[in-house]
Amino acid sequence: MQKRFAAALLLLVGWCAAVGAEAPRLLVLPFELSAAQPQEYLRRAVPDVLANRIGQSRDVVVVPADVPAEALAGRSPFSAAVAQELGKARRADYVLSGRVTEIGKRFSVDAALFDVKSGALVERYSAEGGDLSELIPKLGEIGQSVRQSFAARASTAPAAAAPAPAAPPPAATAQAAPARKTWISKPLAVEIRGIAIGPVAERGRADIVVLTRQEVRVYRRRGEDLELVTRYAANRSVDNIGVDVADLDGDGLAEIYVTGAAPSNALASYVLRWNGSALQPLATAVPWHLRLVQLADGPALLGQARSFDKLFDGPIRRLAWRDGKLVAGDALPLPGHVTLYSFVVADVNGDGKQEVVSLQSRSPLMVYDLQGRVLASGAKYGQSAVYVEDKRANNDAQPEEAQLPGRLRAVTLPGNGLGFLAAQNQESIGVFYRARNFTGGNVVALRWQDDGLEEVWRTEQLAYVADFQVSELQPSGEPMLVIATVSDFEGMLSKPRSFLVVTPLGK
Amino acid sequence: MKRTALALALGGLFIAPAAQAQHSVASTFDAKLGGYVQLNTTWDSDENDDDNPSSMRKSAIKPGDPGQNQRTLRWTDTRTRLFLDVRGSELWGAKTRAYTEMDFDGLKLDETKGTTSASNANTPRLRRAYMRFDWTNTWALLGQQTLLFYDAVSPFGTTYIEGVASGRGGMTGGSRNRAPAFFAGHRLHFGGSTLEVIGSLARHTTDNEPAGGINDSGTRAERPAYETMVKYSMPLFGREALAAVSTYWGEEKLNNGAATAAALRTQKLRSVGTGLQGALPLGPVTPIGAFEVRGSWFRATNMSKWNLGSNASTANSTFSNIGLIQPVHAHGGWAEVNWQITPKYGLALGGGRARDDREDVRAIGGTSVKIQDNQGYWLMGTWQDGPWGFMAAISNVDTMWVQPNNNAETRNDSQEIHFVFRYSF
Repeated sequence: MQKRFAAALLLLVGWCAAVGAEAPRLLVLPFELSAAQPQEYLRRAVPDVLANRIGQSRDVVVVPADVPAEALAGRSPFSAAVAQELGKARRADYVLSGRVTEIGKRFSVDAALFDVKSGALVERYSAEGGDLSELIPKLGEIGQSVRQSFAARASTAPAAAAPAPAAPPPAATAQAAPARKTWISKPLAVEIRGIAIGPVAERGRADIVVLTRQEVRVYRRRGEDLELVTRYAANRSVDNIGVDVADLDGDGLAEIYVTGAAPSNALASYVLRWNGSALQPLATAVPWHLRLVQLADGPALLGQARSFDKLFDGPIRRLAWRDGKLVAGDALPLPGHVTLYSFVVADVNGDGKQEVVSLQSRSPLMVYDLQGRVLASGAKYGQSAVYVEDKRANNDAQPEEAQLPGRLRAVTLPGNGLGFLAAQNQESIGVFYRARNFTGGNVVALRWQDDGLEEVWRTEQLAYVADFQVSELQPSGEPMLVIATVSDFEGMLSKPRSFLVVTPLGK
Repeated sequence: MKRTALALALGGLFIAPAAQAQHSVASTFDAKLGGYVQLNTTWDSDENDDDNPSSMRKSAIKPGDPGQNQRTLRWTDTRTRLFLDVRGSELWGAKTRAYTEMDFDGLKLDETKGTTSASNANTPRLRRAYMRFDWTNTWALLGQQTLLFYDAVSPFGTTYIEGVASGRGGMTGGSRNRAPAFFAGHRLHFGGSTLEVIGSLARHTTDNEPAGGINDSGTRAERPAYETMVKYSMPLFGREALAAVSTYWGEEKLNNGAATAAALRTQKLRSVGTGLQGALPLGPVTPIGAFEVRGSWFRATNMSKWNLGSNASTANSTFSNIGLIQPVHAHGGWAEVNWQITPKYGLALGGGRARDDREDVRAIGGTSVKIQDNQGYWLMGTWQDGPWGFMAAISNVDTMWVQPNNNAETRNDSQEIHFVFRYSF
């Protein structure tokens, strides 16, 4: 019986983990009593014991059980409607309810776990024993199993972390990060080009903004589901190529900054914000590539121009709102080849000076000092399926196209200090300029080691990685790695399919 | 033994540094093979035995020519293109690149002079081969590349059909407008505006006459061609407006084709050109697309080999008047309105004209009619989705000839319809 309980609870924990890596909120309801002579104190004592045992885990938050027994009077403890009603009232993600049955000298505890959002019955449990003197130990064992399962969830290697396959880093740096549960969304019938996370439609929430070629979509995770909050269709003449969110006006809601490539080698970027019921443009036809970058003095919105024959032309500048318009400010003193989308300024090697880590189209990862000297180079990262015209067609020369380099982020890697995250996509045949056939991708964590950036860990093999973000999806939650993958690209005869993958950042 | 030791020592010299640098060097190169497969299908209102099927017709058929009203449908894949694009490590702070490009539109059968032809012969041809160095705002290029002169702006469908503004209409789209050269450029940024200054030393094209030919390496030019361009671009309607002025100067030495040095007579003749080019966005990007007008104007002498004008000089075919040859002056240009409806669909309507100075044409002499005025108009639509591309175009060429000896005019027009199918990889 204990094994069944343990297995069931493992499933429960796994499922809970799948719902989200932040601690789920669990409400334990008063148990119904069924006995020839019901002993009323058990109605309260059983859930109290369970809550106490389960609540010792840091990986689950037990909601105070302030539900009066009268609230359940005449209602089945196995009713999904009841679980949803009471769970929602107390902002719980799950509800555990049940019944204690006493027949003769034996008892049975039957319980059920419900998903508050969907009302689905997640799992049933049952245990039985001799006289009631065995009840508390049985409940204790259940609680213990729950704790152990949650603990196991938190300490197992992140599914997102498998050893680096090729050219493993030195043993001193290679780490088999603990396995953790990964949540994968339902398939989305779009080809994702970028993602961003922030409180777009509700203060304090972590909405997930998904960018496609023509649309901006805002999703929110509710339990296991991904709920579409709103969507915004861009100008048909514009191809969306990049997205970030930031609350630059300080109203508690993040604006969405979308870079749009327009005909004639122009940029027609735009900014959206939530007006209470929908996304509305705050600015349009902004002639800048846009990117939110973490600088030494905090996050900054940066821009870079485009010209007839250069996808990135001129210096990278700070952008700021002035009189309702985005205007360019100071140019950042960066090495000349650094382009907007993929760079980080940080003390990479711990020498007390700032260095620049940069991803550029068709180049390996580069580390420069601020004078532009190359300090190190690495493998190739940030391969992307987004092509943008780099140079116009001229006379009989076809236009040149550039792969938009993928995102590069500096993060604090648990147990490893300052690190960098980048996507690495693999191709079946990587020799062709335009015809790309991505077979999969990973997000790779890097950190400075000796005289270069070495891999610390990489996620398990996913589909093509379109973009990623690191975010605390829940307030005071642990940092999560949110990855947008594309398993099917949009084509003349094929429908697109993408997924969002959420995994703890891990070590 | 000594030889072996020497070889090992030399080998060691190369191997040791390579081994030391293996980690970074091996990962800094990126080589891509690219290009496209292209099918051009061209319908002509009059038989065309002069132009490549993948080019727009240079001139109308002469009235009374047997080919008049002989409709033709021509097919070719010779514009299929392959390239190898290698990006190397940073050198002295510069991004480095080596680019080699070829197609199958090379020397036609039995055509040793490189004259244009309607032939479907598919000889490989080296189009471009250069190394390029890009610093932040400065760049340099060494190798075979399209001429700098008159190369700032081109018509919309230029990669599908060469010579869109008609071969004589003022666009450098001909097969010999790429030459080995040195280029250097520098960009200056003024707020949102950019000024770029470019200079070039190039092989001066000296073919089309005795001692010339498609394989010409500049044998009759003692000096290189000097080219300059100043290009200014500025933001307009959230897009970019561009204006450029460019110049060309080259000098060749003509000869009378004598068999002996004693009989040789020579004369220097210059090719000089000035071009103005521009692109102007017509408003911002709108939900129905983006509009733009582009155009070019030129004034040139002895530059028909670059399709700037129809006649090079007053020389006749026998060079009997060496020492008295004068260049033919020409002027012209083209203008086009583009409508990029969506990133996938585009339309363009344009026209071009090239006109030689009448008296220069008459100075050629003889009774053979010479083209003096040439005009072309075109409407084209393109569709591009990922690697797939398609273009349909209809064009009209209106030509006026002059008979030098009596100044009589003749005029005619011809039409073409192009369908181009492309798969890029």
